[in-house]
Amino acid sequence: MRPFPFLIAALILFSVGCVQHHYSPNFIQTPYLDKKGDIMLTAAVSGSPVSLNGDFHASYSPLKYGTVMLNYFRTSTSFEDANVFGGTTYSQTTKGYLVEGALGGYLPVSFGTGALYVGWGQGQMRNDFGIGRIADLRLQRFFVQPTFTFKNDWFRLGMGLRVVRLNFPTGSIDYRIEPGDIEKIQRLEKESPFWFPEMGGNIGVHFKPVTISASLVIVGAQPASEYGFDASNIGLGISLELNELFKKQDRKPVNEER
Amino acid sequence: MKKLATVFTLFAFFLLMGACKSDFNYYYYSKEETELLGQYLNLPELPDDYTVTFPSHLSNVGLFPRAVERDKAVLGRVIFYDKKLSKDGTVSCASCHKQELAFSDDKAFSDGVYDRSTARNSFALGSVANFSAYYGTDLNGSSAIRFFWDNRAETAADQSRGSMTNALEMDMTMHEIASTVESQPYYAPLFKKAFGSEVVTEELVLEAVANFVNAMGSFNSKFDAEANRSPVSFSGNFGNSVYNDGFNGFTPAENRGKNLYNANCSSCHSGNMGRPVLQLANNGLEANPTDEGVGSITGVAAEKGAFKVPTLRNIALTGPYMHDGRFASLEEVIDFYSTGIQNHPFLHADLKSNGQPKLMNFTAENKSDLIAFLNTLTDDALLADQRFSDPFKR
Repeated sequence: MRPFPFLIAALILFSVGCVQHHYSPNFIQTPYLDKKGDIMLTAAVSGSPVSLNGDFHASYSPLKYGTVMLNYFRTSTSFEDANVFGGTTYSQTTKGYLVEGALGGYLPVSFGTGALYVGWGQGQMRNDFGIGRIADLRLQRFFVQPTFTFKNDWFRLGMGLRVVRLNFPTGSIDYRIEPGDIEKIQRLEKESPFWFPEMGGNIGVHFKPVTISASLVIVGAQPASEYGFDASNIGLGISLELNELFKKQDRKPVNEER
Repeated sequence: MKKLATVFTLFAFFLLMGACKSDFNYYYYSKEETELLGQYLNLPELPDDYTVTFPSHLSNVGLFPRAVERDKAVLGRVIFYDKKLSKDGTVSCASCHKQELAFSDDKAFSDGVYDRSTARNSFALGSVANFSAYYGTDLNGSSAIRFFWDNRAETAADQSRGSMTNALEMDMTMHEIASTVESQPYYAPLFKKAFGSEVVTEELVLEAVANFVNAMGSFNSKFDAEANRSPVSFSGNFGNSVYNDGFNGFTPAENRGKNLYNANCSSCHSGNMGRPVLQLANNGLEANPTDEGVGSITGVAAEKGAFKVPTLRNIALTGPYMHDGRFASLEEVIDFYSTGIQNHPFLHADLKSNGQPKLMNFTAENKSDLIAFLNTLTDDALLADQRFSDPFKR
């Protein structure tokens, strides 16, 4: 098992490339909640051929079979690239974020837990093409996400399908951006909103109350590159299942009494 | 169940909120730049697209334009029409290359600075499909086509330099051109957009003009529309791909004219109006030419009296004809080729018959048909294309 996280980390490192993008998927969160009061927090780093990302996630079950979920996602890329001005090298960057909330319901079954989440959020993707040529797009995302999770004392497995409606309601674009990139943006403007599926999952090793996991998400909008979308994302995360922590603290007094 | 319904209603509401179509704001010039440029120029809020895409009948035979850099073409357009870039402020490139005449002049010799006259007839920039397709060796191995009637320039930039510095035309040094450009406030934002800096150099001025000239393309004539629909009947030599079959959209006279053209003219001027087949030829205008044309540049005896062979796009608009504008009309040109070719030791072989100047002996109907065909080469889209028009507020 040991080499596995290092392999993922290496993949992230080598997969970070040099292309601006207008959408990057966060992980498909698959909270391991199966009873009222369960709480889970996750932080993850991920990468794709075009981005380096940070994923933050919180989920809580305030009532039996009911869940609320909050996701915060940051994506960024920075690279040097030759542009049209005589091959001069300019720094180019991509920065974006997405904040979203979801409500869901779960149903534990004998071999795991099935869940369904419905969420909405918004964010921004800001691509700087060098020398101040900026494309600043606002995005809104609605999603419906069925998931299935399996867990035991030392292992976690989650899989999900996220059906996404991605909309770019407004944007501010410097027309000096090179024509090929402008075309992508105009295509986004013309064809937005997009409906597409994203598939993904995570697999992890659990050391109570922490889980170290590797995750993967694949965007099903094809061909994603025509829109400047990230096609996939892989990464490493760490999750804390707070309910397990609280359980330990709760038990302590019981043991002391004995 | 009620709770579930509430949840979905809530998200349907969000969905509805985000249902509006995208509305992006594109900007090119800053507010300050817009105000500055607006004092002098009529430029669109967003720059024009100068991408050149050849019609299938040209690309199918391996002819492709080079990429044009839009922001440089925008700058080049302003330079092309700027009279301040001549010694007395009266002449610009466009003075001799008028858009309504397919970027030619209707005078045999154009007006230069201080009422001087140019030495040769203004070459029609709209006579070609696209100049950039002339550069270098093409996919078929044909060598580069050169510029000016005497082929002394290799590129559009060289050609522009030649005209700007010609004492009979604009009479500037390139240093003066660069200084003048630098002193005009409207160039600063355009240079910054084109080259990332406001620094003006001679080379950058020429690069911008070359991009503008290379963006010009004439390939939307009636001939092109018909050629796109028709197979090339013979494609032995790239430049001389011809359409032997009649075009459905042509009149009988136009098709007869096409046949005459293919038989008598296409071996030099090209059957598909792509690149001329010959770089240069002595066409027997004079037995003892006073203007030695290409030979005066190269010193090669066989090239004395030879001149660049043009393609004939927009030919109906670009008279007077020949390097010295000696023929006022197409009728006169056809009369010349019919019975007027003069003997010359280096008269091109295609214009000879049994060692003597060829007599094509066109009938009156032949001449009328040829002219009907040549009229199909007129590209009205180029003449009205706003992207190539004068941007100055006069």
